[in-house]
Amino acid sequence: MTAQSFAPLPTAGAPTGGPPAALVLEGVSRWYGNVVAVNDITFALGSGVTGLLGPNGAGKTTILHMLAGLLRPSAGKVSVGGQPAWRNPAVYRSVGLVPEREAVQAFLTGRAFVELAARLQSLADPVAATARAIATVDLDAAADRAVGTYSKGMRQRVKIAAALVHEPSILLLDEPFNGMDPRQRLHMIALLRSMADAGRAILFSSHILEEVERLADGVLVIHAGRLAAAGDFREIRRLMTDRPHTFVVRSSDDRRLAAAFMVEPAVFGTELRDNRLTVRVAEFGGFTRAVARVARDAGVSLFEVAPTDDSLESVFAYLVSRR
Amino acid sequence: MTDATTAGVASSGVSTTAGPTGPTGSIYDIGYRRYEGPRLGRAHAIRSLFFHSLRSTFGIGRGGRAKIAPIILVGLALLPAIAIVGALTMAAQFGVGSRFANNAPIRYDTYFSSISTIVVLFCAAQAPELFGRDQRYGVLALYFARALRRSDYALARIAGFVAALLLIELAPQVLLFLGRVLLSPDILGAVGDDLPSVGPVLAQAILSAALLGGLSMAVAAFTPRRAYATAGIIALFTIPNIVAGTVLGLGSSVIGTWLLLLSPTSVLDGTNSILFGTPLGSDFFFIDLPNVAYVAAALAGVVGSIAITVRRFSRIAT
Amino acid sequence: MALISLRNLTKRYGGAITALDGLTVDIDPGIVGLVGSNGAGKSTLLKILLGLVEPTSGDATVLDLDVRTRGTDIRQFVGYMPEHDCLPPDASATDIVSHLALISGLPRTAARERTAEVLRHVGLYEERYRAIGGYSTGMKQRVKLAQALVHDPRLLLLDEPTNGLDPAGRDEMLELVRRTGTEFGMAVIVASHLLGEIEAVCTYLVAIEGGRLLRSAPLGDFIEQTGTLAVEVDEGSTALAERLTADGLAVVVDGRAVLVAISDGRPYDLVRDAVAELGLPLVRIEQRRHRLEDLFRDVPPTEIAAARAPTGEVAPGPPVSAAPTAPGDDR
Repeated sequence: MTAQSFAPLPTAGAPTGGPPAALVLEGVSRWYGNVVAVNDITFALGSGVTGLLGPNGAGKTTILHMLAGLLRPSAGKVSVGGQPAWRNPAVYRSVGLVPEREAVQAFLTGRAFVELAARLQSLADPVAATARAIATVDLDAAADRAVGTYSKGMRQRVKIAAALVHEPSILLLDEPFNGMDPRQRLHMIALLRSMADAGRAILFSSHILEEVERLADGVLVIHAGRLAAAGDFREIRRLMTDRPHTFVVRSSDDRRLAAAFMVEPAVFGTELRDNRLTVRVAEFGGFTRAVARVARDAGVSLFEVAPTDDSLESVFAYLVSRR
Repeated sequence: MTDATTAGVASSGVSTTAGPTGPTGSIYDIGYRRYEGPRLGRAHAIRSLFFHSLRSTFGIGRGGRAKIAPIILVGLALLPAIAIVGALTMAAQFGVGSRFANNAPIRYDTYFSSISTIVVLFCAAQAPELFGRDQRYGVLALYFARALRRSDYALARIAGFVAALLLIELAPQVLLFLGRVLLSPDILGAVGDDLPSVGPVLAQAILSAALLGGLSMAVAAFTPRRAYATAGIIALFTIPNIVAGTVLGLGSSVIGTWLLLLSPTSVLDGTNSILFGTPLGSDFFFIDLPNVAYVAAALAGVVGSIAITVRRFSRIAT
Repeated sequence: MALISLRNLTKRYGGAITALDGLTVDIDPGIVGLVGSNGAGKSTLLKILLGLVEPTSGDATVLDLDVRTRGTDIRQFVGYMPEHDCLPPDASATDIVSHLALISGLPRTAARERTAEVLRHVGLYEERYRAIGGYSTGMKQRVKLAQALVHDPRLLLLDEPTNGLDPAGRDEMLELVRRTGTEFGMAVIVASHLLGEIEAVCTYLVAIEGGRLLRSAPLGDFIEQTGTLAVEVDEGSTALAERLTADGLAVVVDGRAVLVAISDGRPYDLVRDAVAELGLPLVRIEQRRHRLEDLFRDVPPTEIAAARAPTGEVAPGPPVSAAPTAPGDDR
């Protein structure tokens, strides 16, 4: 297994009129006795949406809590906006955390819960801030009911409102889509997307890949406490040179095309089956540059070309299966 | 399981390379098979649950640790009988068997009250196991999703527990009987002497098992937490006595004695004396309550507790 | 006759919460996906089908049996895999599954044999003799599936079968579900809130929203082709778009992909030749299909407005939703 260096995610500039949005971990570890929850992690994030991926127990919650300044790293540096995060009031003001566990008292109304958060943040006008936050998550209709009567999705939204009430430039969410139905998920995705487009840095953890693929600009893959990969998952896939790529092709003459492909050095295998042509490729770039030309020269029409394992699902599986 | 049939929808077929003299080979279909056999319905389900409950009460089929409490308690329940039989053996050797038998400290009619504490402990220890685990771990959903009514579930479990208690109440009596009869110089005569006791012993055992079992299971049905159920059962069997005793101590013998009807163990003492025709001990029973009161209280306890339990499971959410 | 038939099925809890509201639908055998709001609707429906919960009004029949009166009979032929934890930690898989087989009406010997077989089919081997308390989530889900299958039901109800599983476990469970529907030949209803899974496994879809039927149709209806070809190149999409427009096609750029309207066979070769001549790295040529989640969208996904315009004008599509990743990227 060749050593691979993963470039950290680009650090975008600060959004207009706010503190710097950079989230930086440098050589961070966190242990509890013999249990190493997070092991030597380094990355930097700017504005946009990043997905924090990993199996349960991989260390995602620990990372989010360290970035929120609630947990101290056992080793290394956690900085938010250039400052150390641990117990830093400036960081608390610029970061909003939506934890996974139910942290809402059932007897409070939604509005009361969000206003409580506003007051805890010492906002100048908590009532107005509360109203804005509630409007952002679209809970106006239910805001004056007790949280105990909310559905799971609504409870998530009220937690997000509470995390947004002080208008932080950074939002950290731990398993935000837990228990949401498809419509609520789409709304949430649109909301987070718009916030990221406005310049916020958003980091959310999930173990449901289809959600991450939909929303995140880039991913951080954590496996047993270590950072296995970072960046755009398609780019990550390209970097996995020890795993040959496979493409599926449907054309007007599969067999002829297969023969033509076998001449290309980038291709090392073809298979004709089920009305499709499967091509095993030694070199991704070489094949993609050649495919259209080869088809044209062979006089074969291309109806479909698709990489078979270009999904986040496959990339993730590869990353956590290697030792 | 090696029949090479191709019934059903499973995928792999059978291929046999057969030659007149050459080697042969076969592939057998071990894909999913449909079940075409008999389906025995509710009665079978209830019966199976009954026996399962009976076994679980003694910790059978649930690992070593689950058996510790039942074994100890059953041993203690048998102990007096064993002791008596042992003593009888000794006495028989010295030729004073029959005298000892007639004056034995523990006889059929006194056995029940002598082990009543142990039976109560057994109820407190084991009744929570039967209802508690299913509620705590969510297994009720799996039972109710089957061809079994909710009331069937409750009744089968109760019946299994009561049957277990019956065994505990009867086993020492049987031992006692066998010991007395077989160690007697005149076996047939001894059988004739002790036979009249068989009816009362059976009746009292059934009443005791049903009342104590029904009440314990009713308490256990309402809480998945073991500790609460155990404490509740012990409270149910001891507090009424304490209350009645307090009232009696305060001087009100009439009310105090009637209050004893709320105590299951006292009620059973009453039925015991009715069945065996022996007078009640004078510690608690200051006035003579009509016989029918004891019997009515016992039956009310049995029916009421079972009804409450069945209703509980008819309404519980899964 | 439909496998399951619902007419105006309504369930209200305490007058405040309406879980199901006049649901009317017929469900045929196959692998049916049940999607919708969490909590009230789907689970309530499954419980009503099992005869465990009484409907407030309306009718429901399963296998031609009325759920109000023939619940016990229905449950003989239905297997249920609940969403929540439901296994006792101190029993082994063999113990609990064979016990439940007996409760399902199987004679003792058959119960033992079917238990052994079914545990093999779900992929539990030596671990089946160990106490369930020590099992991983994946193994527990398999046991739950096994107890639903052991009495060979005609209908299988699975409530969120991949709950709590990691991606690998999820794949295995979905494969198992697919096999029960195809190889084992039983009718399956899968309740799930993960649309990707439903797309992968189911042949039919019933979507419930707010207790009412949103849509009920074969899965193919939901993921039809949209008449748009998506072309992805690793670099040079703008150049490709310009070139294809010059060739006379209706073209719109959407994120990473260049979308081309398909009106006849023309686009394929034009696309191929454009890519070849520009020497661009071609990653994907694919017919855009509708996705299940479009059902739940308020705003339709990117489409080419005048898709069938005969002239060579570029149709004014929606603005490019640029993801703010690396600057200077030519997408």
